[in-house]
Amino acid sequence: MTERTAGRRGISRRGVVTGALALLAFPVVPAWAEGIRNRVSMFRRTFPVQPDVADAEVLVKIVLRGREPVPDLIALDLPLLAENGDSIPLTFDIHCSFEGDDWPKTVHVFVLGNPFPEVARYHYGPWNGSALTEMRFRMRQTSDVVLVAEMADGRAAIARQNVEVLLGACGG
Amino acid sequence: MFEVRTLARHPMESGVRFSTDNIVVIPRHILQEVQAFYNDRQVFRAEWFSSVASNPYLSFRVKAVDSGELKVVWISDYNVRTSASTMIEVVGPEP
Repeated sequence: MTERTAGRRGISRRGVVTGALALLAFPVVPAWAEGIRNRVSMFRRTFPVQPDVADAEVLVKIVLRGREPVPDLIALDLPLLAENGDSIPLTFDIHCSFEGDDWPKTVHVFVLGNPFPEVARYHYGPWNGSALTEMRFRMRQTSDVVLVAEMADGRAAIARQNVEVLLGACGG
Repeated sequence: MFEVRTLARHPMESGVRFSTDNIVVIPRHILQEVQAFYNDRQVFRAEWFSSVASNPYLSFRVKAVDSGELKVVWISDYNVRTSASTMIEVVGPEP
């Protein structure tokens, strides 16, 4: 009986907790922003999402922040055709002197045909001497691979190459 | 300048795969971040997301300054940290 009266007064603790959980699960965002948010891997939620190239292009635009890309700054070594999307080797280098402000601050790797288009971000400093980096990533389907380099002096560069995938990875 | 080559052994579960009976989604379990320290100073950092291949290979370059320890730290989704380190010996002067 005493428990019942306690539960009836005002907002119960359980109500507050349920409300907070509901807010966490369904935060109020406009519909167009929700599509983009669900594609950002940092928004850590496990759910099957279908790839969308148009949404991925928006992510690339967000990183570029309206800057005009500088040509011929990124050297990209990537296969044109991959039999298996599970492990695709990528080697890239940034043509810069690593003196003064001429070094890449961040290099973003995007695969536009993946459910989470952002693959990796690499952060460098003047102490690296060279931005030559190798990695391996997964691809779901034939699509463009986009690299965006943000230089320390504010310039940005973009490199793009199409990779044909015969058998896509189910992950990614 | 020297090249650092690393290979981690990790499934890198992407979080978009279904289990074999197509009922549940296998939760994401990846290495989120790789950090490199040269004489306790951070010289390189990588943020990784779902699309990085399993057993991820990574190589990068660091300018040799003086002899000391180079340490690479991998951080997983559940904040598990694993590190590997090696001693760097610089013999000649900078060219």
